[in-house]
Amino acid sequence: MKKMVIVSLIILISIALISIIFFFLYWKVYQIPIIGENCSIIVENEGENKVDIVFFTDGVNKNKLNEYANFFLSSEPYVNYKKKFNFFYAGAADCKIMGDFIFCYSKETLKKSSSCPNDYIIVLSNQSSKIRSSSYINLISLNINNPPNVILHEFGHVFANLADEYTPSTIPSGSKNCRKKCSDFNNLEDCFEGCSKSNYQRSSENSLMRISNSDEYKKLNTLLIEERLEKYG
Amino acid sequence: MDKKIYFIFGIIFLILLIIIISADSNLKKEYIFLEISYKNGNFSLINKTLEKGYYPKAIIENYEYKVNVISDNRKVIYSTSFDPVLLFTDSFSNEIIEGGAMRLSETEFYIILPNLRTAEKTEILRIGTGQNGENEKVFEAEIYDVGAESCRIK
Repeated sequence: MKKMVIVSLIILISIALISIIFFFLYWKVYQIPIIGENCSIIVENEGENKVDIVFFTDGVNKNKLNEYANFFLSSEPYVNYKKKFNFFYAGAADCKIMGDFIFCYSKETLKKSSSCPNDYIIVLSNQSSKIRSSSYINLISLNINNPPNVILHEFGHVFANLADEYTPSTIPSGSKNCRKKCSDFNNLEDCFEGCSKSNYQRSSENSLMRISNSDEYKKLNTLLIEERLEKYG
Repeated sequence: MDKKIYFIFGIIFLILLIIIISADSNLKKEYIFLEISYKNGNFSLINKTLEKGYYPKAIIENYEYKVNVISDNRKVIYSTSFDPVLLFTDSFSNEIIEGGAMRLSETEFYIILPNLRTAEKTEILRIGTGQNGENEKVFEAEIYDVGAESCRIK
């Protein structure tokens, strides 16, 4: 009787030990169980609480994904926070042309994005260069035939709630880069008239939230983006 | 001797149970998917479903609207911020970007919420637009009953 108890005890201990070893060795696999079928990793950093970006494609070759991820991560200020970003790919998406812009936000795309960790979604679409890119809530619809820095401009909208610094546009509620008075900038930078509205002020002459041939957010916008990035691991 | 053996058996059983539960909870990430329509300031629910997969992390920014999940003891257990009424379009054809953000008068959008065990309902608040500058509730929906597995009875 005692022998049987000892044997079953040894078996149980062995099972427990093997389970514990397996559990810790494959903990990462357990943590991202759904990554697989419809989700592939483009750039992944270790740890939790990252900015998770999911790419989709609409008539675009998959090699564009690395191109865009690399361009994004080599641009200021993201180049200094590379470890805070993960990029995934979740497959194809359908986009609609709405007049002169592209719109890829849909129930199907949002549900498909849940196969990857997803905070922001970027759909790369192949359209005529005249078609504008757009952003809505946390999804960017990006025309790959627009200049590559459009991704930085649109990400400024969805990630840091940055307003357009050209006119005319609409200032989003809670946005901090367009102000009524120059004194609102606390002498951080210069002050220029026109920021979404003609009677609002911007803190730099030509940031990428205003002009198409810039890759720089400039000081205030960079600070606002960094403020948001601080909340990630 | 027997008591010691039972104690060791108990500990091993507990360890195995914890491992199984943790692995299972990771495999069963779930979220609530709400389809909402917006027309001229009015929000209405189209559909609500329980889905499997990852959901976005909450955003603590001052966007125009805030979504709260309220528990059965009326506490806010999850909160995120967004603006479903604003759409940005940008044209990079000339040196100065053109296009601008537009306020939508009509749209259909989706809210993704974590499936929390004690979640009772969800609400959308419009920030600072109440009579005295307080947040104005513009939408409310029960979510305790989302999904076939729910066994909570009201």
